[in-house]
Amino acid sequence: MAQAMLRLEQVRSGYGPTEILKGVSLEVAAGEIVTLIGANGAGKSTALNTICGVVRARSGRITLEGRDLAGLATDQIAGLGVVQVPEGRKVFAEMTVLENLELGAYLRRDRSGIRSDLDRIFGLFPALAGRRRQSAGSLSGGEQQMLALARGFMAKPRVLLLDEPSLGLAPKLVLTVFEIVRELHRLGVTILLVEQNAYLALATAHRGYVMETGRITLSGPAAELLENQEVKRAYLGE
Amino acid sequence: MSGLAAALRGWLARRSGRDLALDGFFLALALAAAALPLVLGFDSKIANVILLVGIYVLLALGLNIVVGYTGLLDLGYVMFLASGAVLASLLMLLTKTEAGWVLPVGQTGVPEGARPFCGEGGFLPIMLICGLFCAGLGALRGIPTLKLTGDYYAIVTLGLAEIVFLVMFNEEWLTGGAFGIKIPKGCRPRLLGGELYYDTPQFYYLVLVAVLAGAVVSWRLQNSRLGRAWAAIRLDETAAMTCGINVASHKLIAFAVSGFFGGAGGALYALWSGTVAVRSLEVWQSFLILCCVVLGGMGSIRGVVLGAAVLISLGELLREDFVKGPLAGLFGLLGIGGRDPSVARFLIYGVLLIVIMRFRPQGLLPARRGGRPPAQDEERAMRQAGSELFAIGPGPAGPEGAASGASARPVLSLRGVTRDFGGLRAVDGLDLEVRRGTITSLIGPNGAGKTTVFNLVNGILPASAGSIRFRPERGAEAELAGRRPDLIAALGIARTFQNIRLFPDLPALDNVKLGLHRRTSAGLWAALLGGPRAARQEREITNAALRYLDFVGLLAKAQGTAGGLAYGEQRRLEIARALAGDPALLLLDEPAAGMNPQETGQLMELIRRIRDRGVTVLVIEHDMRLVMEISDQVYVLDYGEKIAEGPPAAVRNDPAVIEAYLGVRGGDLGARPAPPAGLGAG
Repeated sequence: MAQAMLRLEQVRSGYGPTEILKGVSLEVAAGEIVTLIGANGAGKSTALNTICGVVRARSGRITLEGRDLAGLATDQIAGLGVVQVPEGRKVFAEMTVLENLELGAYLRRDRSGIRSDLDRIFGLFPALAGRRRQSAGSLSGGEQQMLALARGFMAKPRVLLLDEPSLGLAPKLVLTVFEIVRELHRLGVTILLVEQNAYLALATAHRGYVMETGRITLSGPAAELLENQEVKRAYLGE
Repeated sequence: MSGLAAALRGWLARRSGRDLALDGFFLALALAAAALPLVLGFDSKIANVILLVGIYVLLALGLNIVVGYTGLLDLGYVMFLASGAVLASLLMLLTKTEAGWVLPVGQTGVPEGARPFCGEGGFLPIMLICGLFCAGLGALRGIPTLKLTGDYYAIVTLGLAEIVFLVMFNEEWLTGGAFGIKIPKGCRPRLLGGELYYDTPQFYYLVLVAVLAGAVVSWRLQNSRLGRAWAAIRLDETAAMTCGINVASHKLIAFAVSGFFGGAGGALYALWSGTVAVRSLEVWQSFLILCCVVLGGMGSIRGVVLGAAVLISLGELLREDFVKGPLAGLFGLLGIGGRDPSVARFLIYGVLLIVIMRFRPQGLLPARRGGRPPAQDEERAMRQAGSELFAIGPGPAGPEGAASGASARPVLSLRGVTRDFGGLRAVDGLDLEVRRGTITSLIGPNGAGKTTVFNLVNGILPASAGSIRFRPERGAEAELAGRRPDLIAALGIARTFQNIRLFPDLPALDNVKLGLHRRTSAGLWAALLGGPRAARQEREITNAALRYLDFVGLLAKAQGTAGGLAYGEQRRLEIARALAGDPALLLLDEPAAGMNPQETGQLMELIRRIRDRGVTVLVIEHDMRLVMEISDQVYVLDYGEKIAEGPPAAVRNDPAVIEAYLGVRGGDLGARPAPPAGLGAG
């Protein structure tokens, strides 16, 4: 790994008096899918929120291609290409599918690029193409998640942060979501994936980090983590 | 005496240093208010300001019941102040002459030889009448606004207040119109041998006593079963309903109590001002009172007192001395206020509000959100953990025959149940039976209508067609379609929600106590007057709630807020709250969502234990390991229709189910073939 795309060094953060991240270090190289797994309350979502500046880091450094993100507002960080797809498919229910996707590209100025990316998305997700004029709220849960991911892609991210994309989806759709993650990766997006479904996450990612109570306790190539006894016991239910 | 000392010591031990400091501060404030006029005179400017502060504290405490406790934004509170003030002055004017009762509105004096209606001590009944009148007015105003929340409620209250104002202002025969009602000397009521007028000690201490009473009543309400229910309504109305709380009646009680404060405060205002001019009781007074509440801290009694004290005293001081003195020159230079510099006080007000709200958005003394120290009886109950109290376990201790289950009569049966949303049919002619003592699962793709089925069963949504029959072991068979959620909860159906709907600001213990709401009865009078029965009830439900917390393994977390619990713990707390309603049927909506395999395993164990207690369970879940391992019966929904039903093994191999829901078995993911955890390949 040459230069990390996204790097966290000893990051601490939290809400109010409680510290959630207790010195987290991790890296995502360009072109990688990296997954962050761990129990509920371990701090995975907080890590993503700290990266995008929704929660302020109290100490440590977060850098994007060497550039320090400290002190930047969330929209500025998004402007630099760090885009989060939040947990729970937060699409704009009363807007159409197309409007949702266009909002994803809100900060972009390259009209032709936006148009070709829209075509790519619709080529990739025919379900969305057929419903581009429908309100996002009328989509099924799986389609909404598809839309949320596609909206993230439309921002032309350097790093896409995915927070539990499979949460609350039917088994069939869970597989589909991970296929979408791979598709996005194939389109050249670097991805940091937070997941509860450790098995599929590790089967999809190149590398993984295991987080426990605000600390990274284990990391390595995803295939190795899948075989790790500790991981199997705690996260794979074996 | 030693008992009292011990109680005092216990109380001191449970208060933090900050609490004690604030207690001291407010005690000093109260003593200063009581003593100052003895030094400065009851007719001094300071005494007059303190009186006005006192009246507004009372009003703000009343508004706080609706805004702070129940969580509804009321922009028309002035209507109670105005109604109370006008009614009080009319009652004081009411005099008996030889010709009978007369109302000398607009006259300068009382007719010769007339006897006023209220004589010695007569003002107390007047306050009571005004309070009750406005309580009725509050409840009446509440009826058409019951269905409204948020902005809509605020706008309607604003509009109603404006109507009341205009009517009063224009009915000159009654209110004196622009001139107002003057309360002439002969009509001033007496108390303890002195006239009640703005500069008499009798009136002064009457106001202080009323404020004290208002604070005590507020405190008692806040800490009662009623106050807990209000908090639940404020935090999540739907969840409150599923706890069996009748939202409408609880809101009406809040409106009435709030109105009572306003009416009684209005009566005091009438005496303080001497002339009740409706003109000065315009709608902006609502905002002033609301500012007192918001500035101090919504829902916080100490905050509201401080907020009113700061705003009102500042307003009065700015009105006179400061503005005409040193500040006048400054304002003159800045060109503010023109010829009447006292106008500038609104400017100062506004700036002050912005500054305070910027730096303390929760108010000067925010209401306590988060854990609270345990009350004494809770502490005692918790110390008994592990003793016989906890050996009983929750629920009806399984008379319904755990797991012997599968009795012929289904506890729940749906026949042809349909629900349309506009053109979309979310549930289409669904037939479904849940046998007693079993665990039944409802699965299907996202958007298949599973949660809609839950919402129909527990009454959050009305069914468009079909019948839903519930047959608890105890009690008669009932048709659920068309019933209110709180009544369905009372019949014995409890539920949890897909997106966890706890009352996040309340302690875990209080969340479970809210689940017990229907099993206790203490109402407004118990909250106000207390008494041993209400105290015993409260102790009993504390014990019961602790048992349920113990059952789900959260006893140690009883005092922390629900919102502060870890995700998996919140799921379990929601189950404890649902169980506390002593249901015959428990609906669980995706209880394992977001849980890892370990946590899911614990959850499965918990669901089995619940079933073993005799509670029938209907569960929506995507986690196939859970569904396949614990269900007796599985229903599969797709596009609102049932596509399969049967025991888990049969359903999982049903081609239609695989096609619509499970997807290819073994799930080929390309590079690294990997079946998702728990899908149960093969």
